[in-house]
Amino acid sequence: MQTDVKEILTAFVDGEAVEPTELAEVLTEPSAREALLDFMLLRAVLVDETVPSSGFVERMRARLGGPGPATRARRSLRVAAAAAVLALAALGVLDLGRMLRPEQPDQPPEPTRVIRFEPGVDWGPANGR
Amino acid sequence: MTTRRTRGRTFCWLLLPLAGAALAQDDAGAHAGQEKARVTVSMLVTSPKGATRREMQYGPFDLAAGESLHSVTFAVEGRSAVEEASEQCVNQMSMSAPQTVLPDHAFVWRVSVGVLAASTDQIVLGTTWERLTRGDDGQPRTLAGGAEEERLTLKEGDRLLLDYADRAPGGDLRCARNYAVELTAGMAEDTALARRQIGYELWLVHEEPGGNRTSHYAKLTAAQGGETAFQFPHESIPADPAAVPGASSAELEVDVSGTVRGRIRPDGTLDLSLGTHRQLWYEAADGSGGVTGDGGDKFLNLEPDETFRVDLPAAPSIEDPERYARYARDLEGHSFAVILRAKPLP
Repeated sequence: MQTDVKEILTAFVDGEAVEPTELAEVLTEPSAREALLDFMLLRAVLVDETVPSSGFVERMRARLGGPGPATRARRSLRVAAAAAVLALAALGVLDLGRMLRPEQPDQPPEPTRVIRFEPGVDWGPANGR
Repeated sequence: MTTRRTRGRTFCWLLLPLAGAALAQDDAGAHAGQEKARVTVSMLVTSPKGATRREMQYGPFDLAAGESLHSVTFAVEGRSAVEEASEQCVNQMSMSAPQTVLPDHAFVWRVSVGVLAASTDQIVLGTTWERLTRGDDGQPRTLAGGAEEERLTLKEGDRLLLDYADRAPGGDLRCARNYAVELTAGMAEDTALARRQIGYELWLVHEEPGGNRTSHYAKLTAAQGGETAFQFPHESIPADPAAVPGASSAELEVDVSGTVRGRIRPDGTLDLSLGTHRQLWYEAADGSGGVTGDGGDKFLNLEPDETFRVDLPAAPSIEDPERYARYARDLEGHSFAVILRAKPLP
């Protein structure tokens, strides 16, 4: 995969403005899906680094008489919801890529009308035409 | 309207009035905006030592359905009083009655043409023609043709010989080897659309008995009213080796090609003529195997970007029962279709 392909995917994951047609083209690359997921996982890890360590949290809770199990459960739900949103967004981007990708000419379009040559009417031996 | 002088021995007179006078309409105001056929009647002459050439030409004239040409008279192998001393062969085209030129010529043709219908690649003409000569009593004698109108359907660019005649018995070989009257037809283009182009996309779709589907794609561009050809790669079908004597294996080759001609109409729709040809043959290691072919024409009117699928007949058009059975057996379960999409280009 080329560097500019990675750059476009990284920019997209970082929430920067990306040209839709460029993004669609990049997503046609064979390894684009894996790269996109890698970048999103990496971003999730980096985001997690901004969260204090569990030891620090426990110490602060002990000093401040911090939140109980109910609050932790709400946080877990928020994390799960965020993951679900990210997953759906990734799927949506892949689908967008398919929609914007140029039609493959080798694959014929669906016909709007179907007719047939009728032997004896408008079809016959080549030497009889 | 043209005439030609050839080899210094054939001499042509042009006696026709203005081209406009050659048109006869049943209703002058009834054909505004109607498509018109372009019709030409010619006299072909094969010179004694040369090629066949167009000696005299009547037209082209643009005629709508219901319009016709005034009859034209071609007279050949004649001698005029002026040219008699030099033994020149005289050919003549005129709108005179045949009787007026028959005394001086060996053969006289009288040809009338009217347009019955005109659309892309479908030009229907009504013609009457007659070949006359002088009888022993000096009176006109009909050698071929007659008063009965013949209905002819031509595609654009088709050439049709209405009549053919060897030179007169005992005639001067220096005049000509033979004569023929030729009719050609095309379509007159709407001047507002004549420079337009049409883009075509075609697919050949082959569906096999197991559900496998292969397709081939062709993209073409042609001028308004112009014909363009397409050719798809061969498709190979495993065949019964018995189809090829002495072969341990065989394949039936299927070749699909054709032509497409389109015309943008003033309302934005497209008239299309799709000619499709199919050739079938058995390919054996030694290259043996006969070829058979069939085909057909479809005339369509479609909206821009509309997509047509035209299915080819499953079985080939072969009269011989044994050969038909062999091809039908190997083609069983296979289907072929041409998919066509066309649009006017900007």
